[in-house]
Amino acid sequence: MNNVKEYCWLISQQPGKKRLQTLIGPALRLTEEGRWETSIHLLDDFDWHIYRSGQSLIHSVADDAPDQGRCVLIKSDKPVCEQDNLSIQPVFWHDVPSGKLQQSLKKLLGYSGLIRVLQIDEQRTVLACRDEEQKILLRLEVIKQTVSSHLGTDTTPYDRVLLRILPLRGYHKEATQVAESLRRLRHKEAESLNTGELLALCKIDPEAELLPNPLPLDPQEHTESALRAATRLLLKQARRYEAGIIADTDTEYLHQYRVNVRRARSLLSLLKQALPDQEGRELRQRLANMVRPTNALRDMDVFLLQRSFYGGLLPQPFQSGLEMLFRETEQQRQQVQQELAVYLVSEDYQHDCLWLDAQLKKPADFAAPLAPVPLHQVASSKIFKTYKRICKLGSAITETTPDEQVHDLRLDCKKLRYLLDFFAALYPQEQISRHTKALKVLQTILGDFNDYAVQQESLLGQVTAQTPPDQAAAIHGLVALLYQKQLVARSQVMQALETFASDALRADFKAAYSPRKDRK
Amino acid sequence: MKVLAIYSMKGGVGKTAASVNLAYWAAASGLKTLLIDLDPQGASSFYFRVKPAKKDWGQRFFKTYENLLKQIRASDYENLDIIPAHLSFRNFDVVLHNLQKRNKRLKKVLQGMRKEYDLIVLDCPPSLGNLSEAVFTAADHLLVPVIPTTLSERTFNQLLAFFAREGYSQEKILAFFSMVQSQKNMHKGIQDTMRQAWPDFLTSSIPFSVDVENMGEYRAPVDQFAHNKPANAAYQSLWQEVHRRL
Ligand SMILES: Nc1ncnc2c1ncn2[C@@H]1O[C@H](COP(=O)(O)OP(=O)(O)O)[C@@H](O)[C@H]1O
Ligand SMILES: [Mg+2]
Repeated sequence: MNNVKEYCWLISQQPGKKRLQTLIGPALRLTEEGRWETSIHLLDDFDWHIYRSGQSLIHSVADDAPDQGRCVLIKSDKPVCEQDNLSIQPVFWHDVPSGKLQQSLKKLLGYSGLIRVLQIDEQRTVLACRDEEQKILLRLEVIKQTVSSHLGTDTTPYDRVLLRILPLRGYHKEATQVAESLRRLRHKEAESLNTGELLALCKIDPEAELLPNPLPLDPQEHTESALRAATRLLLKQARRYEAGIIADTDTEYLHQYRVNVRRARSLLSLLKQALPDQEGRELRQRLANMVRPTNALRDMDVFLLQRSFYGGLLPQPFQSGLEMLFRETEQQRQQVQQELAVYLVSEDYQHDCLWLDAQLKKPADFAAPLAPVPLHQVASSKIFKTYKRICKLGSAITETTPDEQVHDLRLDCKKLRYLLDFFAALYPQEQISRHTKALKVLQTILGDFNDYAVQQESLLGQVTAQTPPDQAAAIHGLVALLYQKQLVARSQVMQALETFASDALRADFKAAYSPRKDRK
Repeated sequence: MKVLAIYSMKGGVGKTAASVNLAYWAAASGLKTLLIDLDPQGASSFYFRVKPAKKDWGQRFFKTYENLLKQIRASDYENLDIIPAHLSFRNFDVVLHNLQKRNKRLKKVLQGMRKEYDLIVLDCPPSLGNLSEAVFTAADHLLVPVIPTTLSERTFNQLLAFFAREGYSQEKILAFFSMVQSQKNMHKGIQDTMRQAWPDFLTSSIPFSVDVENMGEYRAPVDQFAHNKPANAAYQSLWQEVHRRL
């Protein structure tokens, strides 16, 4: 209906009003309507969850209205949802008022915080073209954009100038004439920059920052070489999170740091027959030493992240005691975080990391029994054995089995999970995700069972003779409720085990991972 | 889409002043608004600096809505478009007389605008003929400016009587006091009696003000050059009241 053709050109230089007026001629007069400066930020979390979902999160704020920012989530150039009037740039999902955007961000980010990836500073000048009666017949917009990176160090900003000719309804002819007289400024048609192009301009490559998933593996590679290479990759990935732990950006940095170190350590122990005994032991020891100083902080993070969950469990009279507990933990946490930061920048720690890397970089010496065996043989037999072990241990579990044995079973499930994750590249994707999914169901129940137990223990550990009575009351109230939840999870364990050891799944695992003669 | 006609049989009562400022505030409040200047004198068009079409197109006005689309001009303000008046509009009564279903013609062509606009404001010429009746049929609401004088009171009652006689719904009629001079006792007295007789008078009224007269000099809605003046607040509040009734 009203589809008026709009011109948008890339031009080589920012033209002044005078120059434009000269080109247009005296029949129309240019008046400046206003100038606006806007800062636009591309936001994501450190692990690129928004980017990986194929979306982009844009935050923009006009310089003259800094408390009226706006966030838009974009998927393939189209806005999915948005939120206006943001007084600050959101960091966590709950910084956005409840609504569609908050929901999407909650799913995408979890506990991760948003950081600025890059910034576009936009300077917009709007000029009106008026006739002899001062009626506006069309508008011109001169836009200067400067793109700069917030990540990395040595990126020079990228500049460009756009000229837009914005016709008004009923005055197309005039717009076409003006476009004609300004055409000599045109360098080429301007396209709006999409996220991929912006990242490229800033030399940011999210793919290069993340571990490939699954890890690329060669089925014929010798197990020792593959193990060394993979462990190195995992450690490198873990170290990516150090700066965020030191800056205390959000709790996810420490969590991911630990996840990656633990994965590395589990691999070394799951495949210990692929490394010389002495070396393997030393490597595992060093990795354990790396994780230990992070335990206290992680425990506190886990507790503090339960704030609203715990708050929801307890009735009003217990709330102030609980709140006090959280506030105290927050204070202690500061101290503990500082200590960890000091440790991470210490020479000792840096030295350990260098040692680990150098050690893993050493060429394989194929002295250990599994070292020269092709990866795929080791993979299948490890996976199948671990699966069978879970079934066997599982079949021994009854309603009355001591909790200890259930915890052991949980650890075996974890091992199987690490194996499936690590070796994923060697098998059809569909098969790995089918088996991972089945395992996850069991792991969730065992995990809940374990978490409730650990939480009770850690809560009770906080009660001393000096604990104020209403704090102690809140703790005991929580422990009672968590114990109930633990019982519920315990009652689901047997059913979940039965499903996981069913004939159908057993046959499926056997077909997928039992050793085959033709491969030998 | 709603159609709001600013109408009075009398000239010089503030119809055009109200059309210009109400259309402006409607657009500012986010409604896609089209102001149609039906008065061949083209005062609304003049205030918005929109020149009339070169071609004589009044004959085609009631044929199809595409004819109207071609005449739409953007105003200088967001969300507000205008169809400027043309001298040929002076023949509308005759043009309509020669058409079948003349009362429904205007309504029909305006229906063609409903995809694009939320509100159509009609600035009507002062008369009571075929065009007026087409307006009474097309409009969802008729907004009538009334100067609080005995003569205007009489004219207003004539309009009510006409509506009753010809079977138009009086519920369409919204009235407000225009060019009110609060220091005049007569203005006060007539407002009170008329409000009693016709309880549907809007509470907002427009004061007599040099700022409204100055629209002719500035050629813009009052808000653009007298932002902080009472007349501006009066139009804004009149719009809010009308908006609630739409
Ligand atoms: N509230 C007012 N105060 C003072 N002058 C007014 C006011 N409203 C209108 N006028 C002036 O009165 C004259 C007629 O107003 P106008 O809106 O054109 O009336 P109409 O459209 O009903 O003929 C114009 O010169 C206008 O400037
Ligand atoms: Mg008029």
